[in-house]
Amino acid sequence: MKLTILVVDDEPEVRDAVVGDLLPFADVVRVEPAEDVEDAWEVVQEVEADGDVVALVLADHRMPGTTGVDMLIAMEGDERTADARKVLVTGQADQADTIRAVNEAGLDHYVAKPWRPEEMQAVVREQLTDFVVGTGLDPLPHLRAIDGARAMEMLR
Amino acid sequence: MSGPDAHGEHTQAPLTVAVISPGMVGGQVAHEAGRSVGEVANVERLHFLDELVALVDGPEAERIGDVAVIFATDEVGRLDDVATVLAGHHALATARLALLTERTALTGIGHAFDTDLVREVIAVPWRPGAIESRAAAQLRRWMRDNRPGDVRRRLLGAGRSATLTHAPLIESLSHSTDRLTEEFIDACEKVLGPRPRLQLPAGVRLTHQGQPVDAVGVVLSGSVALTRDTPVGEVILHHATTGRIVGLVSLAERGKAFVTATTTTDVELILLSIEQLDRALKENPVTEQILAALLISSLTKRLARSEILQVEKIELAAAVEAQRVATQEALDALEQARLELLAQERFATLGELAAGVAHELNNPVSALERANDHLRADLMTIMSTHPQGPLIRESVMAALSRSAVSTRDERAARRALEKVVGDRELARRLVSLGMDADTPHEEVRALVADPARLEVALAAASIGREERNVRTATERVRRLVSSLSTYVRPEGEMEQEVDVREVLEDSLRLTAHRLRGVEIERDYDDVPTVPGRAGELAQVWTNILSNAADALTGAVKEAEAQGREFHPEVSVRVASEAAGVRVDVVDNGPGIAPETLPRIFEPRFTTNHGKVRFGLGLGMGLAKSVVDAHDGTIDVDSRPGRTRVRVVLPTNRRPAP
Repeated sequence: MKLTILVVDDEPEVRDAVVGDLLPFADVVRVEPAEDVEDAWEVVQEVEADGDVVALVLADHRMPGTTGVDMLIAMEGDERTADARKVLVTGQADQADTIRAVNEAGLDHYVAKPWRPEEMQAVVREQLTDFVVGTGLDPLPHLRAIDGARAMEMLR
Repeated sequence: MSGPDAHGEHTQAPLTVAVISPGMVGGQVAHEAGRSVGEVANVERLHFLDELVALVDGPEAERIGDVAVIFATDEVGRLDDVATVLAGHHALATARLALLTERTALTGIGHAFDTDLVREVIAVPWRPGAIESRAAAQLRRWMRDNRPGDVRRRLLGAGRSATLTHAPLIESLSHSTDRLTEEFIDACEKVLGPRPRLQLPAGVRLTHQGQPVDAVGVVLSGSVALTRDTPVGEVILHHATTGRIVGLVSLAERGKAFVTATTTTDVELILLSIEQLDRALKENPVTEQILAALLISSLTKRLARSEILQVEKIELAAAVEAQRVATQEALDALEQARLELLAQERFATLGELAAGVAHELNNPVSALERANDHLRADLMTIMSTHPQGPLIRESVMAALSRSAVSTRDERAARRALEKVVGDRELARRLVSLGMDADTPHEEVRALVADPARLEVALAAASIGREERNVRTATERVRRLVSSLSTYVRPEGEMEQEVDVREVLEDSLRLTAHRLRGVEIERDYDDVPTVPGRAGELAQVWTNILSNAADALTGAVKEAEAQGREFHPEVSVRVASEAAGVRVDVVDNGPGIAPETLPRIFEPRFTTNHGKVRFGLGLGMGLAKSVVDAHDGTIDVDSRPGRTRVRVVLPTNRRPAP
């Protein structure tokens, strides 16, 4: 069973950039890009069918038809994704949207575009660790993607 | 008595004087009335009002004719009811009522007075002969008002009775002020001897406001103005209506002058001290009457003037209020204009800022673009000596030229390749090399079998992809910068030849972030350029498109909330029309509320917390002022599901003034 990071962004270059920055996790974590909300749900479906789990959603704020916030809210309400950590990656989100995301989508973090890779990786590591700790998963298979010290703490 | 009725005035319509009383009094009244009006009118003696009604409605109606005067004792009924009954019968409607009563107070007669029914109240018992004169007088007045041409009125003439001589005061009131003044001076001089005439020039104060007054002045000729000092300055209370006696009102007020009286022309007057006036009044009783008449006429004039002034004051107050409202409206308009200016200033500031940013961005963008090219050149140089050179070059070029693949297609390709190589992660990496279900299986397997070669190919593909992404991103920034530059092009170059389609494309690019997910349909005819300022015109469509975006975003959210499907669309059409270029921007949003539509071009802002919002309203107001400056037209046509903003710009503008 693999932790899956779902990257939702409608711009291919940005998606590529995020996926590229997640390469250090690629060995142990499944990274799934999706170009819109509908596509994201297909990925969720597929991940579940493969026996994996969506651990983290990195969503662009602005997307056709809906906002990343709205999608995260929907995912908060779906049992397949309710536990997943939710991070908004955004070039522009007004305060109201951010507040809504925190209150309703259980937003866990907020990454502003443009981001620096180390920052993105730190955020992802932190969130994946939170996910593992929060869901009580066995941390051992995911050690390379999570904060080892915190994971070991959990094992004691 | 025989009057001058020899010309057959008997043919005049019959008149009736009715006497209504259930008791003996009625007979007496009828008898006296018959003596004075019998030649002119029937005198009908009745007991109740009903009988009168029956009479005028009955067979004798013609003989009775109009009932002019009714003498009735208070048993006739509640007078207000009587008035109602009389008003209901044509022959009775103009009747005058003389009420006979033994009582000392009467009530319930308001309506009777209101309708002018009650003209006289006669106490019972009356002085013998009184009814005779009252009947004649009332009938005479009725005829004056209702039968002015009836010569029989003369049979009731004033000369026939001594009772018509007026009392001296009433008599005096009919005299002119000049005559009264003369009479008054004569009367005084009879007692006091000849009074010296004082000749005064204009500007002499006869009384001083607040000062004691011990004498009155009788003005023989010239004018005097009455003024009073008030907090808002000296006010003229009377001038033309001052009257001939100055100071008497102050005497009545116990000595202090209420007003200042000042001559305004040469004035001739005589002065009488209180003592002199007192003596004249005591020793010659006529003086009193004349003084009273003089005062009444003077005060009547002043009172009438005051009442007119009161009316004028109310009218003025109304005018002032109207003025105040107009002023308030002007102030509001001014405030709107100020806000608009403020908004335009902010807009201009934003524009300057954008221009600066756009300019500054040019350098890094150029650097990025060059660096990318150099990187590739350097890479190619290295490739030429690398043992895996051809593979790397091929992979880079393939990735570079491959357009971005949808995530769906990628997943489909990955699933296909997973079946070939049996490893999902490996399949994913092969997809990044551009392999998919169509790639020959042998080729796939060959590459997988050579891990070193695979790694090099993957890295090279990655380089190619990154390079493509850098180029795409750089190009986007460059285009945005160029659009921004259009947007903020300085004013003054009104005679540029502007290709409206280019401006539209700039506007679409600048609003692209707001139109995400909106299907944009373009339909551009080959149109001539228009003279104008591209930057300002870009603002027009930026605003229109922003509004459309707002409307569509709202519609999308609403549709989502209701679980409906909604596909936001904007269509942009450019077409030639007679002597102009027409641009239609149509969205399929919910439309603009009919009550808002007429106000859409007003400079209207939500002044939430004093912030100016660049949304609807302001944007459209600015758009309109820009279009106006280009001698174009802008109009909006909206219904649910279709809002069209049409801008027409002339290709030949009249020269700027």
